[in-house]
Formats: sequence, C-alpha cells, structure tokens
Amino acid sequence: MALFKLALKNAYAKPGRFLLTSLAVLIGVALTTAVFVFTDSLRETFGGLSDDIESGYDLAVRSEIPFGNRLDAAPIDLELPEELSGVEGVIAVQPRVIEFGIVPNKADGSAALATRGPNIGINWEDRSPTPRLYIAEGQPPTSISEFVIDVDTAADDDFVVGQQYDLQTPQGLQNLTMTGTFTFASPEENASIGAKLVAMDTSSAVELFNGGIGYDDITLTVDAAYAEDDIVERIEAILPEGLEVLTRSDLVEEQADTFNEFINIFRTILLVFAFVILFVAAFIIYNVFSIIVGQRIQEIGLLRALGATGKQITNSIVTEALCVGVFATVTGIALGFPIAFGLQELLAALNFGPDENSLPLRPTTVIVGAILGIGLTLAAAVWPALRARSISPMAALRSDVSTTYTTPKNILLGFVLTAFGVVAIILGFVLDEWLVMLPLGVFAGIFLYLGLSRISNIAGKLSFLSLGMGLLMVALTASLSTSMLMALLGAAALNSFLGINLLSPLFAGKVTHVLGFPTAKLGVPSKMARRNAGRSPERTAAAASALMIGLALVSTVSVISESLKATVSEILEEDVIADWWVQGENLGPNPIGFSPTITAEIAALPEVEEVLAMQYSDEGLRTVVDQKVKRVYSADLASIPKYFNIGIAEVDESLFGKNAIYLHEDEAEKYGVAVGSTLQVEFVDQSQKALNVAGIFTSKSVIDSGWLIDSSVYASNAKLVPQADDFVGVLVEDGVSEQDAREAIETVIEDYEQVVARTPEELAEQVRDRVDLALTVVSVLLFISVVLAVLGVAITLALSVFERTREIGLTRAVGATRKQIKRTVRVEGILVALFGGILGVGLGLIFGMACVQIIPDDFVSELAIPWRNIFLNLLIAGVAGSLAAYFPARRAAKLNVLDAINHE
Amino acid sequence: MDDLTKNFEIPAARSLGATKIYGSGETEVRALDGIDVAFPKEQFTAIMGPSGSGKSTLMHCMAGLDDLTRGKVFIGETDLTELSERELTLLRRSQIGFIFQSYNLVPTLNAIENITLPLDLAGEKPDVSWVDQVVEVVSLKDRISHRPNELSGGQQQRVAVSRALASKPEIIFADEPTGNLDSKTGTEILEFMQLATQELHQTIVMVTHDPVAASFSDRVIFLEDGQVVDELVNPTADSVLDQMRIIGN
Repeated sequence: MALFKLALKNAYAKPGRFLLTSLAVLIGVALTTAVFVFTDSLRETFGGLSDDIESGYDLAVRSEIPFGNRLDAAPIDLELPEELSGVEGVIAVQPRVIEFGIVPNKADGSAALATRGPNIGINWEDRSPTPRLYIAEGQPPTSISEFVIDVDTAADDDFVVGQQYDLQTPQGLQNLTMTGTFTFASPEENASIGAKLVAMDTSSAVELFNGGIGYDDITLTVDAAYAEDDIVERIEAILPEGLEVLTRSDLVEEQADTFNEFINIFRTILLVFAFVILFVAAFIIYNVFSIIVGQRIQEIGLLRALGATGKQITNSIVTEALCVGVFATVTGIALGFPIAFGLQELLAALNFGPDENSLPLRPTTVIVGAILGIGLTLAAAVWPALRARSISPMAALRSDVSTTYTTPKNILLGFVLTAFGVVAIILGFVLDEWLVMLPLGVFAGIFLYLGLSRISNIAGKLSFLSLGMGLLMVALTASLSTSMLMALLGAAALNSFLGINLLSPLFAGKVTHVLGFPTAKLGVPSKMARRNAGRSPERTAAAASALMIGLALVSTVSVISESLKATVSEILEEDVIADWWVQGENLGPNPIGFSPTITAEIAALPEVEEVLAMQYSDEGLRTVVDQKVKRVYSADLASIPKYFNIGIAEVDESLFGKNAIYLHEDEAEKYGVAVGSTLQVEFVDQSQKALNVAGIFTSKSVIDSGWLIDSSVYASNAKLVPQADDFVGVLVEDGVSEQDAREAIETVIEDYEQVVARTPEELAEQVRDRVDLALTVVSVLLFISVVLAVLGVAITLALSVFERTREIGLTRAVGATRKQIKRTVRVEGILVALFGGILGVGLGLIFGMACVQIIPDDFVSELAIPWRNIFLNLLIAGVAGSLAAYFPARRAAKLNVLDAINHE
Repeated sequence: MDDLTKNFEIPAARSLGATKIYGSGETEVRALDGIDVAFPKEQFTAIMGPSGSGKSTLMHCMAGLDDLTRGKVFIGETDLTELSERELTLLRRSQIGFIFQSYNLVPTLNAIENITLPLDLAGEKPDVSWVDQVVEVVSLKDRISHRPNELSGGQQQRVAVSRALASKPEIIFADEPTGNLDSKTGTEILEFMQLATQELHQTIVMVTHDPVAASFSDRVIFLEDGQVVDELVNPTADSVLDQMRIIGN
C-alpha cells in the first residue's frame, strides 16, 4: 500500500512529465476511440438509411448471381411483371431500373458529376401503393423526352424545372425536358447520401439506361391477409430459372452489409494509423520509464534498504505506469468524441450522410481503448519495472553502483523460452494465415529474446534482429501467398525495430560522435553536446528509436510509391502503343464507363484511323474447374497488337470471333491449357461457355489479371453485352499532329465532362499525380507518429537537462553563457534525432525494397528509390531534433547558477 | 533459560570471522579481515577508523546490505549468511533501522509518511503511541506534514532518525549521521541517539570519523585494515582522539 501511495505521489509530483508521458498514448487512444465512435455512428446512420432506401414494398424478385457484383447481374425479362401480378395475394408489381453513370449536363454544358457518391439513373416508380420517390416540384416524367432530378442536385447545380438539359446515357446524349424535382425515400428529407439521382418513366428508363433489354429487379406489394411465406412459395413456382425472391428485410440487411463493408475498410485503414501511433507511444513510455528508473536509482536503493521487496518496487513502478495508462485511456476516450464529431462535421460539410448523428459509445470502444491504452502502457513499462527490482540496496549508499543490467543466467528456463519462440514461429508457418503470423512473429521474437538472453547475453541482444532478418530472408525467397509474405515482412519489421532498439546503445555513442564531427569546429558547447549524446547511449538509443519507427514507415511508403510510379511509367510509356487513351474519370468507388456512342463518334472522325473499345469487369466470370472468380477484360483480339504490347507468345488467328480468349502464360499453366484447347467458364447470368484459347501472352502490364476475352463472347448473349466502354484506344491517321488529334477528339467528348482523352505520357503523368496524392495523405497520417516521436526526444532531453542540473550550473559558473548552454542542448537534440533518422531511413529503405520485391509484379515491378524524399526525411529529423530541444534548452539556460550547483 | 537471561546473553548483532574480499590476485583488497565483534542490546556503539579501514563495509555487511566472502553475521539469533534475498529483505524491514549521512528521505513523501515508510512497506499498522513518542522526543510535532525540501538539514535528519526508530528494530545502523550537519544540530541528533538507547531501550551502531560524535557513544570500536584494533568504553572526545593518534602512527 505504501508504495502504491508513493507511486501516485510520484506521478502527481511531476505533473508536466506525467502529462507528456501520457500524451502519446492519449493521442493513440483518442484516435482509436474516434475511429470506433465515428464508424459506429456511420453504421447506425446507414443502418437506418438502408431501411429508407429499401422501402415501399414487401417482396423483391431479382436475378440470382452465383458470384460477382450485383450491378453486373443479368436483366429481368420485360414480361415477368405481368406474370407476377397474376399471383394470388400480390397487390402491386413495381419493376425497377438502376444504372450507374447516368449524368445530367448543366445549363452551361458541364456535367453535374457526383463527387461524394455515384451518378445514378433510376425509373419513376408509380405502381407501388407506398412510394419511394416523392415529387417536390413539377410533374413526374411520363415520356421518353422527360426526366426528373433529385432536389439536392437541382439546387446545387442550378437545374430549373421546365428547361431542356442533356442527359448522358449508354445510348448517348439525350436532350430532355426536366419536368420536376423529387426527394428519395422520404417526402421531407432527400436521403440520396451524396449520390446524384435522375429518374425517367419506367419504359424510357429501360430503353435508355438498360438498352431496352429488361429490368434490374421487381418489387411486390402483397395483401396482408395472406401469409408472406405462401406468396413467396407461389412466386417461386412460376419464377424462371436464375431468379430469386427475397423479403424486404433480407434486402435491408444486404444493403446494410454493403455499407458496413465500406465502413469496415475505412475503419481498418484509420486503425492502422492509430496502431502505428500506439506502437511509437509504447517506445516513448518504455523510454521515459527507463529514465525514471535510472534517476530514482538511489531512492529505489533506499526503499530496498528500508525493507521493500523487489516485488514491491516493481509493483510501484507498474502502478505509476497504470496511472499514466488509466489517465491516457480515460482522457483519450473522452477526447475521441470531439475528434469523431470533427470527422462527422467534416463529412456533413461535404454533404455526405445525414446531419443528425448520435455519437454512440459502445462497450467495444471502451474495451479496445482500455486494452490499448492501459495494456500498452503496462507492457512498455514492465521491462524497466522488472529491471528496477534488481537494484541493490547498496545503490542508496554508494553513488557508483552500476545501473547496467544483465539477465541472470538460467540455462534451463532459457531453453524452454527459446523453444516457445521457435514453436511460435513454426506454428505461424503451419497455420499459414497472415493475421495469425503477424502477432506470432512478434511473440516468437519476445520469447527468443527472453530465452536466449538467459543462455547468453550476446545471443539475447541479437535475438530480435536475427529473427527479423531471418523472416525478411524467408519473405524474400519463400513462395507463399502475398498476404502471408506481407505479414512476414511486418513481423520482420517489428522484430527489427525491437532489435535495433536493443542493439543501438552499442553504437549510439560512436555514431553520434561521427555525426557530430561537423560541429567540432563550433567550439566547446558543441563538443560537449557530442559527448553528452554518447554519454548515456541507452538513452540516446531509446529516444532515437521512436523517431526511427516513424521515419522508417514514412521511408518505406515513399519507396513503394516511387516504385509504383516507375512501374506505371514504364508500362504506359512502353507497352501502350495507341496514340490516345480515352476513359471516364474515376469519381465513385467504381470507375465509370461511357456510352459506346462516344466510341463510335470518335471512330468516325476523319483524323482517326481506328479505335479499340475495351471493357472490364472486376468479377466478370468464374472458372468451372476451381470456381475462381476472375477480373476479365474484353476487346477485339485481332486489334490488340496495334494498341498494346502484351507480349503475345503464341497465337491461332483462326479462332478469333469464336469464343476466343487470350490467357497469360501463368494462367494457362495453372489451368493446363495451350493454344487450341478449351476452358469452361461461367458468367454472372449463370450461363456456361467453353472458351477457345486463341493465344498466350507474357506481359501482365496492361491485362493485369491475365484474362482477355474477345468481344464476340458477349455478343452471343444480349444480357451480358456491356452497357458502356471502359477504355478506348485511338490510332490517329498518319500525318495528323497531336494538337489536331486532340482538338478533333475534344469535339466529341466535350459534352461528357468526365470523359478524358490522354496520350500515354499524359496518362502516366496523371497516375503519378494520383500516387503522389495518396503518398501525401499517408505520409501526413504517419507524420503524427513522427511528431509524437519528437515529443519523446523532447522528454528525454528535458530529463537529461534535469539530471545534469549541477553540471550545467558548474559550466555556467566557470563562464559558459546562456547561449552556449542552449546550444549544447540543441546540438544534442539534433544528434539524437539524426541518429534515429539514419536508422529509420535505413530500415525504411530495406523494407521498402523488400515490399517492392514481394508485391506481385502486376502492381509494382520496377524498384525506384526516392533519394530526394529520403534526404528530406533526414533533414526533417534534424529539424525535429532542434525543435525538440527548444524547451529543454531554454530551461537549461534559465537555471540559477547557485541553485544548480547546490542541486542534489 | 528464561527471557531475561536470554536477552542479556544474546547481543543485538555480532559477527564471527567476518571477511570481505574485493577483487582477486594482484588487485585483491581485504576490506574485512576476520572480524569478531558483538553489539550488545541497548548500547550505543561507535565504529571508528581511518578511510579504507573497512568501517562502512562492516556496517553494510552487519546490516545485510552486502554479503560476506567468509564468516558469519547474526542479528539476534538469526544468521544472515543463511538467508535468501527475500528473507533478508523481510528481516531488514522488521529488525534493522538505518540512518544515512545524506538523510535519504523520499522527496515526494512528507515527514510522517517518511517516518512510517518501513512499516507501510511491511504492511503493518504503526504503533501510534510509540511513533507519537518518537516524534515528540525529536520535536518534529509541528513539521510532521512538511515535505523534505521544506525542512532544514537537522530536521530532515531527525525525520530519518525517527524513521529508523519507528518500527522498534532490533538494531539501528547509522552511517556518519552528523556528517552533513553543523555542530549544533549534530549534537542535538547525537543527544537524541543517546536518549534512544538509554530511555527508549534501542540499540544503535554508528560509523563515524568524528571523535566528538564518537564521544556520545557508550563504546568505541577502532578498525584498521579490516581488523578490530582496539576499543574504548565510555569514551570522551579527547580519549578517542588520543586513540586515533596511536592508530594513525
């Protein structure tokens, strides 16, 4: 109890240090909490929204899809509604049409593109007794020359009822009269969640949005007097093969699941950053507690002399850590709310999601926050706390007691722990599951360390780094799944961080000495700084570690993105032969295709020799033999070599037009087929086909999935014919200048703002810009951890200034000026930070290169090192060190000379 | 054997052939070289000797803070050399008190919390009347809730003395308790230590190199080169000084 009290008092006696120590964990917990609260709130909102979206009916009939995207599902025959209305108990039948990429053009001709959701075209539902669409102004659309628009889009983009506007449809540009505005799902509030909606009457929607082929689904309203199950049975009896009937609650749930999937991805990404911050926080805590133990060595010796057991000492330090952890957790959770609110306001400002949101605090949030905040703090403090227990009572009586710690030898226990470590890593490989491999890899490192350090001190020190490098080697050479390799790499990185943290005291002094070389000429203060940095290498190493992690991650990401850019440039500049490349800008979650009428118009231009239309589907078909869903591209195979260099190794042109397919050599090998053999596949409408392998190609740079089918495959099945082209390659007539070609193509696409024509060079430039943008966003998030690491350096410097109070007083007494004292501290800060920066950048380079090696060549094949960024990171480290030293340096300079000399 | 005779016969602490060797071979230093010494109960004993004579080492070993190379050390009837680290800790906690030269108070605890710290560590309730009595005797009553940095050196050392007394230990070891104090406050502390042995029936062993401080004790033991070379009963400052001169030569 006594030491519990003492621990509390120790925490309370230095509120500044307590706060600083807590800060890193606090921010990590706050972010985690915010992510949870915010995503829970989104989930709640979208749960309600799902109910609104799927309203106005009782049952729904739609195509079954064995796999793939519902948007690709085969349309439903136009006659089916008539048949369904004859079923006993069915009151109303409402066929529905939904098509993405239906964009209205504003009065000035520019497209009213949705930036926070998709552009969607639907049919005006007028048969259901409980409507889903409500007219706000004007009249519903009744003919193929009329359409309506949702109220928000009308207001945002200045659409006026009664005016004529162009509407982009798969059938080309349609000049229509806007007869009214409407709200979606509720008469009071438009629940369009960022999407821009247009609606036409049902038959016109089928005609213009679905190519006249059919409906997307059919909803039914039933008589409450009948049991729903009976009606479902009767409907199932008359439904053709390939259709299914579902209740509204099934669809609400499905809709909610779709939302949740997005929310979960969002949550995972944000959590990764929060965890990075918490990992850095753990290092800072470890660092601070190690210093605290070092500083209190006399006090701890005294307590031991007075009869405190080692366990009591350990407990008191753990208690202090517990205070930090609890404070950080409670404050962090509380602070999570304003952050979640901020995120919400941000999205609300972007008009995404409804305005009134609750911020629910779920038990899971609190539990996760507490486990992370308290658990992590304790885990980080446990090692210094255990070290403290071995401090001898003599420490109170003598000032020269060594504080270096060596693990007592215990060979037997050592072997047992080592064996645990080995088993953990073997288990990781046996289970072959990335989510298990990652933590097991870290556990293995910890056990190996605990075990080996009991057998041999040096083996213990080398354990983490050896395991890390070993895992890295395995990751680089083994043939495992990509996710497994990445997990191995992650485990290797974490072990290396821990290993370097353990080993760097051995060379921190030497490295900072070398780094400080340029300062040698700057006089005594810099010389002192250089010595100070090397004086307690453990502390220098620990302070540098946190910075190392942050910069290692930033550097890794920059190596990957630079390589990605190089790969993209290489592909686009070498493998794309076409003069121009036309595509719809990716605005929503799916890239939007455009009307084949645009392709036809471009082809008709006198400047254009010919065009190649390409479509792709992420989940276009699946193999019959192993049920694998494939991303599939389709185009006219015969024209491919004129547009792209895909490395065709073998080809049989006689098969073109006969359900032909080009396969990448890997896929061909996998399915044991060669040119001339057939491959059985299944499409989303459940139809099967034997595809004839017409060619084998060797480069996945353009056709990344390795599956390229001939357009003729779709032509034989009207339900499968793509409504839009995704990419169009253009070959220009000889002698036409780039400028003339550009102007000609522009005349076609100027009515479709989202459709852009680029030369391969421009395309490469655009992709590079996007990668840079993504890199910036990721780096900004990672820099939060760098900022915290800088804070760690500041704490370390502050504690070291405190410790050297007397020394600083003496230096001042013999004539050092305040400025000189300041410089001493500042140079030390810079040296420590540069040390961390060099370690971090070095590790970042290694792991970045390893990532590039591991990521499949479809994505990244070229290794490129962003030397400019790497140098910039080092510069940032140096500046950060100088900033971290600001307050400690001021404090040191302000010390009263006499007080400082008398300081104990 | 009844309790009275037992108390009378068994000293609070004693050593048998206590030997402490640092290093080996060429660099071997015999800090203690077969010391047999006993500290009877309710006596105030001073250990004197020149620097390097082994007086501090003897005290540390007697108190179970440091271990011997050879020989035995007893606190009461307990042989410290037989005890495990944990048992030693528990023994220190309950039967040994310490007074250090540099007070060694815990800065974040106030005076009374520092005084009862050993008892708190043991999880025992302090004997309130005893603690009150001790605090009364060292005249700390009105400073009881002050932190160490709000107390003068003399007051801090009085807190340290009270702390040593609080658990009524078998024996108290004091390491140069007046070394950091001016002569007036030093005298106060020494008088109080005298009082503690005579009226509060405590046993105190003090290491010092100050003949005046030693003169407050009941008996002075002189060490040189790790061996007991002489002892003086009922010393005065002059007699101690004389003895020191003899040893010095």
